[in-house]
Amino acid sequence: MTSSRSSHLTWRHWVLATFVVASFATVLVHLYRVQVLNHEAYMKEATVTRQGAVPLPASRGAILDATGYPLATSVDTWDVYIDRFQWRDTAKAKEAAMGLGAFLKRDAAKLLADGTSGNNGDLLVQRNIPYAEGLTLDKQDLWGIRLVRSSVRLYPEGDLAGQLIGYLGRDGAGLWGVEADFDSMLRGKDGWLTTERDALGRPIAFSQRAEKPAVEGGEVQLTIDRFMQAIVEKALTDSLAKYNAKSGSIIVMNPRTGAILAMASRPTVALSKVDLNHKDLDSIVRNRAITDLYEPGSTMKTLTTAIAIDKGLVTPESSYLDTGVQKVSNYEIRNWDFSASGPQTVRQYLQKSLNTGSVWLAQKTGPETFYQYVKNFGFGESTHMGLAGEAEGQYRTQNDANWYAVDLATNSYGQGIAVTPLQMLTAVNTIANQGRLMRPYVVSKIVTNNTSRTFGPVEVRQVIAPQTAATVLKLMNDVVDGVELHGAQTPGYHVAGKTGTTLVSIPTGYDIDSTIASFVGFIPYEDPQVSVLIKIDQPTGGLNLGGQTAAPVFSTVATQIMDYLRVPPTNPATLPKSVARP
Amino acid sequence: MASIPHTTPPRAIPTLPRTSGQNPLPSAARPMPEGRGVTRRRISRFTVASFALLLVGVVGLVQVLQTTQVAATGYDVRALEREQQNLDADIRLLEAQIATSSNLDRIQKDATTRLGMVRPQQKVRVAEDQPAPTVIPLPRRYVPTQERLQPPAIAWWERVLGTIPGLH
Repeated sequence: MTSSRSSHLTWRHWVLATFVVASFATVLVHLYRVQVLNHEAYMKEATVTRQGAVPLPASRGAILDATGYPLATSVDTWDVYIDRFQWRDTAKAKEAAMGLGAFLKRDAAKLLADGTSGNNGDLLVQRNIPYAEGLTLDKQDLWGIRLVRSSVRLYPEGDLAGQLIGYLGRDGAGLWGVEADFDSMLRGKDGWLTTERDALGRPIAFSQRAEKPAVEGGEVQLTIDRFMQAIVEKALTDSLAKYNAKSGSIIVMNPRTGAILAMASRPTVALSKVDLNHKDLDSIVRNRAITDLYEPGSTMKTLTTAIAIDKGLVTPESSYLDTGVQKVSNYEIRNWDFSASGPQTVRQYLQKSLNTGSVWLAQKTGPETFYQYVKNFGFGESTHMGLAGEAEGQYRTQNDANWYAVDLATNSYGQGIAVTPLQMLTAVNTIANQGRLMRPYVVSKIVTNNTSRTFGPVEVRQVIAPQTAATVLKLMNDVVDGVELHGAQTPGYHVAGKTGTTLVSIPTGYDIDSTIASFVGFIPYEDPQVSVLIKIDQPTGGLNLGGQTAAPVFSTVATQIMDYLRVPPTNPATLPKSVARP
Repeated sequence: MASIPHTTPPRAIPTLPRTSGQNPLPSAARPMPEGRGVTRRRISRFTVASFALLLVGVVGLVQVLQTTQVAATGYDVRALEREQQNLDADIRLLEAQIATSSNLDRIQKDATTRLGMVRPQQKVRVAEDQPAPTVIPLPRRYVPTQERLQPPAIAWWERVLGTIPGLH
């Protein structure tokens, strides 16, 4: 039977059979190559084509003040894109452009022209439309219109603390201030969502999807109190205008903990209208209270006195003869007002702010001890307060080749030594804190998705003895309350403080026409709740001394802060028309 | 107790002529084995096939129902997720509005213009022996992180269904 069937096969059968077998074999080989050998590559390509990833942006965390009020926060918005690939269908694109134009109040023809020109990429047509409006637009289901979630940063307190808070770039990264320094904590982690899409890029319902949820940004809480910050900023702005000064800084701290309660500098940046192309951007966004160095002038005398008393070299009643000049090497050092007061106690020298008295104390102390204390007070190194850009300050010591004996004399009254305002206030705070140097800090808490870190007071070292601190604090009180009509006197409270005036340093020496006026003090003297440093640079309105310009600003600021903190008056007799209820 | 003797004589089994390869009687008429009181019925192939088809149909129906339910649940979950996103966005917006409303400049402006308040010329200080009320902070800016709840334990019947191919 087989042999008879074979006999019927002609060459045509064989050709046909061979052709069919060869065809199938070719297909099989190709299938094997595609599905077995190159399986992974084709699979990946298919996945890329079929699956679309949607970014899930993380909400940026808020920056809060000490009371929990958001100084910077983010709200959700949408960015609107045109899908140019879909807008190749001009009829549908035209209809969508009409709808989009009406919604965004934009020229539909222009939108159509933009959306149908160029390549096939998405075209951003509007940033940051409000979230609710975006949902409305989404419901219109316009052809080729894509909405991508975004967010916009808000500053509920306006321009307050602009240098400290910082600002975000278009990419959502912090450019300066807390926004930049704590960017990694604030920004969170973006997530993504991959879904299968059809040929037009639309998600396919009930298809496979993978999601990595976004991790919300953390919250950074500052020690800054917005009420005190507002008080300080207004006082600084007003004083610079009043004294026609170039710039200035004010810092308010809790001397016991090192917490920075307010910190402001001028000129500053307005967060509500930041111009990133501003020619002086670096100058206005700089937090001068921690970045700029200055010679502290006579405020340094408080520390020089503390050193001498702590070493047991003098007491408040120790005296010297003020002849109006102290000769050091070949230099003659005179008092700021060229006065000669005769026999003067330590108390009187501080009240009159006599340079000769400082030189006397420094020479009794000696350079080794003096500079060791200066180092212990934290000068010449960062305070590690947590913000970037902090200057370390500088001064020469007896171990430096270019140090001269006169340096000790000038350093004792705050010249020839460069410090930041924050360093100065931190050092002087030891006097109100029983001699303990506290590390200043501006961030009190960072709360991220699953962690909470709290930052509290850190004692750096004991610099002077508690008794010394109490003695110097009393001397500082005598400087303010013991001098008639002192500008820093604050009705209702005893104040401890010291003024400072120094000439502006220039490359060739000092500019005798320009001063830096400052005041540093505590209130109330009996139980210091706050310490305040006022620094006014180059006042040109006729008044240019610390006692004339900075001290009255202290009084203004201190009065309001005492009211805000509800600190009972310690010196009610000085209250104007005070009313006491039984 | 003594047993009563069985008096019934054994039944005679009729013998029938048999031819090889042929069953002489229909199954119903075939003699039952001795001692068995039940009748054995043979299930037809048609019945078996019908039951098999029915079973396949039921399993298929269950799978379709479950798949539909999963899809519907998935849709609901995504709708709820979208709703949660929208609510979160609303919360953030409302909290920003609350914060903006308590802006110090705005309060001062409202106090002096809308409410006609003026700065005090004289301060009255009242000493109280009670501590001042604590400042109540604004609501949290963001919804507190919600810990994901552990899914409920899988029921035995879900495990059984899970073993059926295509149902998980």
